[in-house]
Amino acid sequence: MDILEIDGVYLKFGYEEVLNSIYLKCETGKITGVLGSNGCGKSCLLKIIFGSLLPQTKSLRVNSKTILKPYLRTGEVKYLPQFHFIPGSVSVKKAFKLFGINFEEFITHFPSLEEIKSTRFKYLSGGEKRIIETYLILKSQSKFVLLDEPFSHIAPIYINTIIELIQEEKHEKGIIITDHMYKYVTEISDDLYLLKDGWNKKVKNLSELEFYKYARL
Amino acid sequence: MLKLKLLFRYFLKRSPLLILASYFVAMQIKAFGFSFMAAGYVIKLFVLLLIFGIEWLYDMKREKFYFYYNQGITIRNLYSFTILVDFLLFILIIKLLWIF
Repeated sequence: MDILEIDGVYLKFGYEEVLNSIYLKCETGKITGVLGSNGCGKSCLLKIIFGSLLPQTKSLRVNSKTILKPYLRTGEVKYLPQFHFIPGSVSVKKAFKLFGINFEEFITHFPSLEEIKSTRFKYLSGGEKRIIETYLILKSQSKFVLLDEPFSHIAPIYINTIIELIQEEKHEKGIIITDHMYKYVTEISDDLYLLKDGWNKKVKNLSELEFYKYARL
Repeated sequence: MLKLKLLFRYFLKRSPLLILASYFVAMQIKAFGFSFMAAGYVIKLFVLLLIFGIEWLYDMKREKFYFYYNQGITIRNLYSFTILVDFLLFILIIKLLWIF
């Protein structure tokens, strides 16, 4: 079992403090959900874990070993950002090849997307792009997967398929997920954290989400 | 091998302007001699900075780089590789113009 832990995070942009008291733990075989209001620093936290955003201070450990930029280590962490990250000029077929993922297997999960195999990314709809990007990141060879809003722009029927895929992948990987569709996140998460005013708290009871004014249950 | 492919992909997307600049500078060197070399390097450097600068302005949050980050490639890797290949192509173009 692999364990990823982060604490001692201090992030500020100019005079604005974004994160200052964070502890988060993710284990392979578990899904860790991160919830929080808009602009509370969820995406920043995922970027810090991935290594693409360097805060003022942080302590990130994988199996008690400190790592500064996990993304530089092949097979350590993959990250699905909340924006579309695959260049528009790349075709779907090429993207699958670059990520080393089987397109035929993808079609078994999303049969209606078979015809877009040769289409370039710039010609796909937002939802189609999101499904493919989420699938590629989920299925890539890595110990940990960071998913930033994987359900946005996606039709409900496909959200269920993606949830099934996440559940399937968690047996080999540690998954950190954040999304504003919090019901899906709370449903699939083994551990849940709430991010608020720069600090985070492990949620033991869903009523805490209401107490901390995150959601009306 | 995959990393190399992606680095080449990044270079190829920016190569037309870089090759054009190399060809222009090489032609000037052929016409005015190696005394133009220093000015040539300044022109090449300017074109490189222009390409990187425009990219920087159009993508302030570095969103496009996440495609490369997920394959373990940093911005530094991409820029260094582009500069290196561009320089090698520049030398090759000078050599070819000299021969023919």
